[in-house]
Amino acid sequence: MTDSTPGTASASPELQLEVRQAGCRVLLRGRPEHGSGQPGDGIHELTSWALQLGDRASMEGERQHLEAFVSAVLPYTRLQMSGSPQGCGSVEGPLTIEPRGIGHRLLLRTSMPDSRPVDLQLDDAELADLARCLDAIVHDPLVRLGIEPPAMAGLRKRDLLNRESLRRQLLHPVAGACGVALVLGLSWLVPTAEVLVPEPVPNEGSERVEPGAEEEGTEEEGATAGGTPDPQDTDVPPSPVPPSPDPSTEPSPEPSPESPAIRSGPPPLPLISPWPPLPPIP
Amino acid sequence: MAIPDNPRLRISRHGLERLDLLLVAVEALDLNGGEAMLWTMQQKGYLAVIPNRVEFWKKRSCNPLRRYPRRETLRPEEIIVMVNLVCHLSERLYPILRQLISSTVPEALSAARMERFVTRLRRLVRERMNPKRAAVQQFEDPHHCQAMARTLVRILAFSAGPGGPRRLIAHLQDGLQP
Repeated sequence: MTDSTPGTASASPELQLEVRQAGCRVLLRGRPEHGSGQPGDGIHELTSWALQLGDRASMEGERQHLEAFVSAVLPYTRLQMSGSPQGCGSVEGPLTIEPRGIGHRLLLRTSMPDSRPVDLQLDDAELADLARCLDAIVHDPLVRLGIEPPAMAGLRKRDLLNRESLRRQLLHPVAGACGVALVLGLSWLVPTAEVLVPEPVPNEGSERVEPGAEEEGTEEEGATAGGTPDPQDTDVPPSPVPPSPDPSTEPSPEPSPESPAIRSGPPPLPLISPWPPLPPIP
Repeated sequence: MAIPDNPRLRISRHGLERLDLLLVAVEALDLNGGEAMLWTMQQKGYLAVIPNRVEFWKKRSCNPLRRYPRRETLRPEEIIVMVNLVCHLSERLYPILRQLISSTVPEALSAARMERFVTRLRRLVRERMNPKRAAVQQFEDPHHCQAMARTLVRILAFSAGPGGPRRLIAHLQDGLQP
């Protein structure tokens, strides 16, 4: 499909180079170095060039126009690979190219007075043809015009993010905030852990010496430990042996004269258990 | 097809995915694409970097979307070989690619060609990619699959030509800079 024919310059010192694609044709005319006229030298000085876009448009220009094409169309093609909606080319320059619809708008401005700019609509295939033609000119060893291909780099992460709509950008943060709020709301519904408060330990010795003071002390202990006094402690006098001694269900140690260390030691820490008490072992 | 020699050349994770998807698209366009890749590598002298088809398969499996991905990245010379390979295959397939993206081709004919390509692409993606990944699951959506196929065809078409490798490398490096 590509037809790159280096110039035929047997009679005149002018060389021609033609690059042809299905929808695009570029013809370069120039002179070799020092007017030697050797075709192998390549084109060192461009006299004119012509571009034909299918049957729709044909234009001629000079070196600055070719440079403008190379510096606008090739970066634009690269941006199109990433799906970027940016255009290329300056408004004051000879051409701009930008996306329009499903194709591309190529706006050519002539330097002639009282002439309107040429507005062309290209599809992807024509853009690819044009880029291939310009690529062939820039990379052809026979074209020694010193036109360098434009530098290309990957798009920044910021540019990629800016292409996304605001709704899409806010989707993840809003979803995360809603998730946190949902978890916090559900955590309020979870029942808190049951605090098992040990029963107050009756002190026999102090009861014999000062019965009134012991009762006040037990009430104070129950109030401070559990918050509400046990009705058994207030109505029924404390008995040294509980009616149903079950070590598995009884959280507090059984007061007995055989365990003086328990009685005289510090009060046991409250046991916090979210589980109900285990059934008695048969 | 010259890529500036850069020993610190690297591509993004998205680039790894895209590079393998482009090769899958080439296989969907050309039924003998897998063998054409190996033949091209032999003709272009890339076997010094990727010596055989097993190594080539391993390099392609660096794509995180693969069913059995390899947790490694490509070395700079491997990136250059893979990119040159894609661009060379695009050059070969350019007439087909052009027909798929041209607006002058009759719409019914273009739609039928694209439908055939999309069907093959979806089948290859189902075979080789991890169906648990969201990016792969989106291929089951006909709308998304059609759009993705068109995007891959456009990238392949713009990758053809002498300047194609530079454009493709730049595209694969999207998102590397903050």
